[in-house]
Amino acid sequence: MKRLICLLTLLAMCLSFAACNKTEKGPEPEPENYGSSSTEVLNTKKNLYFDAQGNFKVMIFSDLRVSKTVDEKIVKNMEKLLDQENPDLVILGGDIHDGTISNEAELRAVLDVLNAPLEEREIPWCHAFGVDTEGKEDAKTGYSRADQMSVYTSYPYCLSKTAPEWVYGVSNYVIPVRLNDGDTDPNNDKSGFNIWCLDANGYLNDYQPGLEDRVLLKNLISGKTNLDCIHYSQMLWYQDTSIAFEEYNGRLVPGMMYFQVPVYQFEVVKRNPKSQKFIGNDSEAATKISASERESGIFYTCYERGDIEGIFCGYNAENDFQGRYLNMTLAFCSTIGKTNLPETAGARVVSISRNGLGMETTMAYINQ
Amino acid sequence: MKEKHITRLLALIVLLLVVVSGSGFGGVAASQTDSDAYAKSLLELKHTLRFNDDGNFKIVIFADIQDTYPLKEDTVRYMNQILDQEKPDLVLLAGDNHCGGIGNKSQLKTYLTAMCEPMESRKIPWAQVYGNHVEGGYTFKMGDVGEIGKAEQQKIFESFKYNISKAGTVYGMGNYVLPILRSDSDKIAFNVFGLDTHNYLNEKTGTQQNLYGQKFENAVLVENPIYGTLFDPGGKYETIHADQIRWYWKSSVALEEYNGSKIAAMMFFHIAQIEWEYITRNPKQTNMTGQDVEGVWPSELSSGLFHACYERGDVKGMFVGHNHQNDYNGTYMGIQLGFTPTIGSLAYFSPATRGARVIEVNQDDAFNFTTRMVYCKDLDA
Repeated sequence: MKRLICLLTLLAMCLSFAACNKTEKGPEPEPENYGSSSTEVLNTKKNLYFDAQGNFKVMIFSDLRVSKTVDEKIVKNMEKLLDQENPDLVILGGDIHDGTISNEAELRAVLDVLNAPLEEREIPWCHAFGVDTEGKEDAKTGYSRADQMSVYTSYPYCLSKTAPEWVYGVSNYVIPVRLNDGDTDPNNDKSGFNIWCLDANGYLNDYQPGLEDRVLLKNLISGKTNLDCIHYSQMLWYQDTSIAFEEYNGRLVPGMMYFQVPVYQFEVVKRNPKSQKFIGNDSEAATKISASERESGIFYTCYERGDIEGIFCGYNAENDFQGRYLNMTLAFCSTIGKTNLPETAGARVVSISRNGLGMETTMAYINQ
Repeated sequence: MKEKHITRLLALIVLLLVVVSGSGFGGVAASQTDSDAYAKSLLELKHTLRFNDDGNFKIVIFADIQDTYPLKEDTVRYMNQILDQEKPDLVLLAGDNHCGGIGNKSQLKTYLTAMCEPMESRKIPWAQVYGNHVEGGYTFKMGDVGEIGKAEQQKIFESFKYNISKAGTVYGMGNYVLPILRSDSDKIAFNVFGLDTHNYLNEKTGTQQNLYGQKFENAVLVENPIYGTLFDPGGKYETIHADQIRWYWKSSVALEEYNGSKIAAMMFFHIAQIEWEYITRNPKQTNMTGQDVEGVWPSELSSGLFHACYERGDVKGMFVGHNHQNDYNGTYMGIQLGFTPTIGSLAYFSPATRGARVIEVNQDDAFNFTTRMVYCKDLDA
């Protein structure tokens, strides 16, 4: 009987101890994750994979700025560079047209010509909107980003997507490059690299009428650049999506990011060529790079998140320089869209290896 | 007899189990994780803050007391005088509340007890954020505070009856929101956000691994486009982290959803952001009042807090300390950016600006709160 009492007492003690633990204050409620789910991220029109050698090549054609008729030279030069580089994905970045396109028929006419080299070669491509998408600052077309997006995505090889509606801008998305082609292990949908595109948005006054006058006082960053910046909702969506995707993959998935308007950290690279490993040309040296006066912190946010290996921008379309700042590559993408092609005209090539060799980038020039 | 004994014992055990598991179930029931529960957790304060019957609420900010042990009598006297004159409903300490060099825990406790006595004796709720002199600092070698890291200091702060600060769940220590309820209902009329601005780029803090590691300063402070003209020490500081901004945004959204309407807010933290520089460069357009004696020393890394607040649209004022002689305030893009000069006298100070900042909010017009300075020199007169 004594033994029974001992046993019961012990049992009671154990149980009450466990119960006491339960009553201890649990973890504080946390705010929800706002990002896109891994299912949404993985849902792209075509899956991207590393090739048999474990490589993946991205090519960026930035700021072609075509008007209602496309100069044949652009298409020829594009074809030349595509055949030379054989990319796995092409990003059409920034101001693909110059802001004079005002309806679907006009946009289709232009894209049919511009995308032909990609569609014919069955190269998946995507795009990110630039500041003049809905017209120049003083000449708005009224042709919205959302309407233009639906034209883009109607092309079979266009993988562009749209983030949830609460995210500012339209061309905000991530496309993963999968580690496994699905033949050897159909259940393995883990990713090795992420390609992020963010909408550059428009001008300050497009965001809020009169904002330009409120922002551009004696300024600190820009040479009175009246461009808007990457908005916080875009940065929040990027971070939370990246966090959720890290959880899904069991590790931080490295990536690259394209948005059109450069951040002021490009200026840091430019002013410190030696320490920041500056390569290439600062062809628009006379002016500061065209960072928004609103320093919204996208560069720092990427740095803290730790997954972005390189940020790629256009807008200063003759610049092709690149450099390093705080473990990230910052690289300009020059254009092949100008009538008189400058020395720097070309496309940026980003080579990614799944074998842990990281990301490298060079320019492919027309004149070579 | 024996059996009775056992039955009694069993009954006791069963009773015990029922009681204990009952409270256990209570714990489980409380751990919902929906947005409402999150908002409610933000509303939990040691002392509920509420607007007065006349619809007003007054806040006094003391910055950079930054004294060593024992705390100087004149600082406490000025604090007492200001509190008697202003009779605030809430007192905020804007960082560098001690010099960072008090390495003895009992001395630190004694110091802090003396420092908060003006609020405690008047039963005024108060809350602190941390500065760069917390666990040592540039003038005190790191580790001068020994084992007394921020987490330990936070416990000491919270041990005071009227301290309503919270440790927070994101990078740094002391990231929290203080919601203030209306006088005539339980709706929130105003939020006060406190954030940690951390230490120096190169340092590893005692409580958390610095994101960057040693020699980070050299990597950041190459010739920079923004700060070239600013004060030399600028840029060496850490920045407000992205996870803190995420926390602010989500907390602001959760409280708005809980409240059913947008809530006006202010923020206080220790070190100014680059946007303060717009005020001094554009005094007329920004309605600048007060003096810019020192310039601004923001972190070279801008994480975008200002523009996040602008886009969120609730924060209409941000108030900092750190530069002991600056007392200016101005409005950039609809957000007031203000300094609170030091109230202390151990570190450098200016007799002209030594004082405290007052913020007055009306619950029916909370987005348009007003702010002014109270100077020690006027108290002496």
